[in-house]
Amino acid sequence: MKRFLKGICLVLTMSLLLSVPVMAAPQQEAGTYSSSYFAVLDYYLWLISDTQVQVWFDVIAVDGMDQLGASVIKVQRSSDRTNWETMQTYTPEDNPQMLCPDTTMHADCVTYTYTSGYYYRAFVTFYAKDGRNIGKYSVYTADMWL
Amino acid sequence: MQWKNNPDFRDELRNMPTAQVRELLREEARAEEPDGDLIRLLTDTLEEREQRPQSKELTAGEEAVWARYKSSKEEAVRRRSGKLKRRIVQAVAAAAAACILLFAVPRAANASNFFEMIARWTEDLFELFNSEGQRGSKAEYIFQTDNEDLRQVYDAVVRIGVTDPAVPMWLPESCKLIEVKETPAPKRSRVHARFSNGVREATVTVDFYGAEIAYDILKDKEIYSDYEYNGTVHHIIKNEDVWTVIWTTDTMVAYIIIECPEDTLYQIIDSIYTTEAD
Repeated sequence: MKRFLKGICLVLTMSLLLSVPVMAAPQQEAGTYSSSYFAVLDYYLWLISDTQVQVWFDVIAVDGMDQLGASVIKVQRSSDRTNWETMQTYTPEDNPQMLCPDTTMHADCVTYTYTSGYYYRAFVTFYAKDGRNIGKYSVYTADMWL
Repeated sequence: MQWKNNPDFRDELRNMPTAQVRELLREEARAEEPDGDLIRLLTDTLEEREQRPQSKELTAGEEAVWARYKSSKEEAVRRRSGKLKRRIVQAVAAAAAACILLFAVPRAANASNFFEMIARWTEDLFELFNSEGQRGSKAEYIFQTDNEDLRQVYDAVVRIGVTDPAVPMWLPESCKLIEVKETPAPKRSRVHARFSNGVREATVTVDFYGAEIAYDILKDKEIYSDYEYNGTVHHIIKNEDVWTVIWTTDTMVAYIIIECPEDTLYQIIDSIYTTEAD
């Protein structure tokens, strides 16, 4: 439960820093920009066994989107919480559940098999496509000792 | 000197209780023009009584005084006895009323005892009428709307376990329901309803956690306003022309996302707490 709570991070209302929707912008690190596409974001690690952890992403858009979800998820680990190494990258090409067509909300997860004795966190890029316009917003989950 | 004109005065004085004789003496001694003869007579009477051997037999006058005393004493006892009877009757009546309050009334009120009944009454009072005088509580929350679209959303929200007011009972007429989705996740169940006015979509989302929620709320934009209604703070955030309203209870987080005029938004929020009584 403690781990669960530690992993929870509810993010509200991504504001409009760029009024012009980003056109297929290259991947950015967490919080480098936001768009007017996302109203509610939620992302967290969820431990499901002694060897597996899930990365959950949850997004509600401000309007109906042609596609909505996460375009990239990276699982990272560290022994000192300073230097992080990317262990696995997930994309919709290999994990189609990461994006949902014609929706205002999408929540799903990817599952990672971990090695005990490290801190883990996930980098998540939320993604929304509306016609030709694309919005993205990247975040890190809270880290978790596994 | 009236006493001198009263031939029976000496007899009366003889039968007068000693205390009364002393009182007469005191009065005469304090008079502006004390009557020396009377003082002497009263003094002699008292001296004579002091020198007289104590006898258990009462003089006729003393008997009369004693009879009056006894009579008044008995009257007092009779009065006291009447009061006592009245008090007993009152006590019995009070005990009967207490028994009815403690046992019969709670049963009628479907409570096991008087204190439970009082607790329920106070709970009802405090739940039904909060500081803003609005109705609205878990027990009293009854969905009241003719809008069938909102009815569907409400039914879904109840299905996942929500008991708090969470669904607006009014939306602009142009908003038509597209779909209601129920999506589970590890930490919550969600009902997500999509509405459309033909141009833009609006959503009502209710996340039910089933346990007390502990989380951090991180915002990268300042809250437009905090709107308190029915004892609940609704955080309102504006993103271009789109409003996001978020509010929480112990076990639930709810969101409304909609593009509309500001006064319409408050109308929507207020409608969440509308009940039949309103």
